[in-house]
Amino acid sequence: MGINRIKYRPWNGERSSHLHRVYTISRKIFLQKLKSKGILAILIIGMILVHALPILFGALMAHEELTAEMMVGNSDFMGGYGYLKNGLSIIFVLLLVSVVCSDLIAQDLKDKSFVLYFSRPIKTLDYLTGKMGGAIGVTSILTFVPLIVFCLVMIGTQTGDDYGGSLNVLGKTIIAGILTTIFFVSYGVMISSLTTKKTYAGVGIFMSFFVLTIIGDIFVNFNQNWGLASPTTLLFYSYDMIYGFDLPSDINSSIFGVLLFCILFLPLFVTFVQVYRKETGK
Amino acid sequence: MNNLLIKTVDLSKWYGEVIGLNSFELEISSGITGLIGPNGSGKSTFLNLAIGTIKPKTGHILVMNQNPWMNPKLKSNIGFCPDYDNLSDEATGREFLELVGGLHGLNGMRLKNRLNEVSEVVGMKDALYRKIGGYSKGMRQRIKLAGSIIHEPKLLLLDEPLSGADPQVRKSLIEVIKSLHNDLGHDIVVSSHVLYEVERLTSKIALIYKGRAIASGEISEIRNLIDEHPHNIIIEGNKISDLAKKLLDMKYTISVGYQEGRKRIKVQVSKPDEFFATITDLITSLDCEIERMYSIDDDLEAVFNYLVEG
Repeated sequence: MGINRIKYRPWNGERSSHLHRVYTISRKIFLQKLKSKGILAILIIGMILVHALPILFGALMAHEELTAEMMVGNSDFMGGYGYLKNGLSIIFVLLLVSVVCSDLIAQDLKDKSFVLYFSRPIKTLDYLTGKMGGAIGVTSILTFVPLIVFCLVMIGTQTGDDYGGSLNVLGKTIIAGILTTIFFVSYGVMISSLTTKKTYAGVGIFMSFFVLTIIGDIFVNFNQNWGLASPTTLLFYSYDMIYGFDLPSDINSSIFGVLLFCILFLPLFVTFVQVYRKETGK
Repeated sequence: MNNLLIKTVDLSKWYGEVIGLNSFELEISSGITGLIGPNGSGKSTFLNLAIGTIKPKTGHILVMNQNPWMNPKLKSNIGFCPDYDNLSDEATGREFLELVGGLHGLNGMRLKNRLNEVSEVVGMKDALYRKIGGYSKGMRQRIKLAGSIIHEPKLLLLDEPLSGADPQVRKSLIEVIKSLHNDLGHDIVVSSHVLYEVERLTSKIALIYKGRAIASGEISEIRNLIDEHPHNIIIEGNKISDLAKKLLDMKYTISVGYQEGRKRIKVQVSKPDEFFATITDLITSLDCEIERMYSIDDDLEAVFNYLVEG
């Protein structure tokens, strides 16, 4: 076959664009996931069932300003549940994360795709950041974007003048949205790094959340702190803390802090070790 | 003067109780070098150590005078084409190359131009927008090759690039690989367990067996080793019993044995030149009907067997 002559130009060390490499991985994951009909279905149904109606009703209901109580349910607004503490929302996020994260690492472990990344100038941390960045991008469509939309709609339709207070709540909501996204994605990525089968990873993510919730619900009768074994409970108490509410008096704040730290950072550490071991051929 | 590209000293790598490389000593200089060895001999382990995706247990490896382990800058100068297929069937060829280019920090017009260049080099320009799932084996190999050169590396490590391809595809891939060196200036290390394929790519080879480099150099140098070993010749035809008896009387004959009845003999000789100088006269004088005569030592497979068995 013919060949077109191209003058060889050796690499001159200028292409050190670190962030671009991470962005490339994230972009690939993000676009690949959004092509999935299953993920699109979860996003659309979740948006309609979980977010569309509360946003609509919230706009129609008379309110002076956006308050923390509206978000975490310590008031009569929207039946006293609050926008964030919605069980149905957790189920949809869990479903989404199970599908998005299931093959994130597991597939690379299975088909040796690690070499595609690690034979390039990519470090373990770049790889993980890129992978998680893509998953966070997709998950945030359900965990972050609707919260901001809700806040903006509420601020836009408020009757009072205290926009400063509303913006303060908006800022806290941004933090809550970021926390929710990282909370679920880091857990999902960890489970995906523990197996080479994406089905096991997907089911594992979903079921392990329920198992922990059941354990928490059973043992909470002996000690209220056992309730923190439930990731959902832990997340809801985190919202309270973000919006300036106290933990219930029978909850040990040290245990809460340690568990929250563990569920946010331990999965990242486990995932890093798993990928590093594979990268180094162990 | 050839530049030294890869040098290993007492290099060993094992996975649990499985040995990948064992006190591996090899020097590879610029040009095309063929790594030859059977499956499981350690070729892929060596290439993975060279690209720095795994760490040696003992000894060391230098690639372009640098340790490849945890050395991203060096990886920018190496293109690696693995032996297995990890391409996503759902992605198009263009998406794959964009990903690989992006991983090397290429973007914008630079990436676009490079993408067009490499797709032309490997003859895949017209298939770039098709899904990889619809590619033939040869096309998948070509797109992998394109991915390994998109960042203009000096050194290319190609692990079994011809495996699984049909003869036509092999032929064209061999042409592409040769062009990558001859026309584009890449230095190439290519592994294969099929000797005649490597022979068509280069005369510079390294033989690997059970995790050790057992020989390296020009094919001609390695061929000289043949002289230290008995030469085996097969003769097929009718009325060759008399020829077999006569050959046993010759000084250069070590042994003569019948194979598949009495229509085929295997002659082992110590001096092949003398054998070939006299065999025509012997055949004529005995009135044998020779249908076929060939040496089973004529290709690299024989060299490899000698060295391994030796």
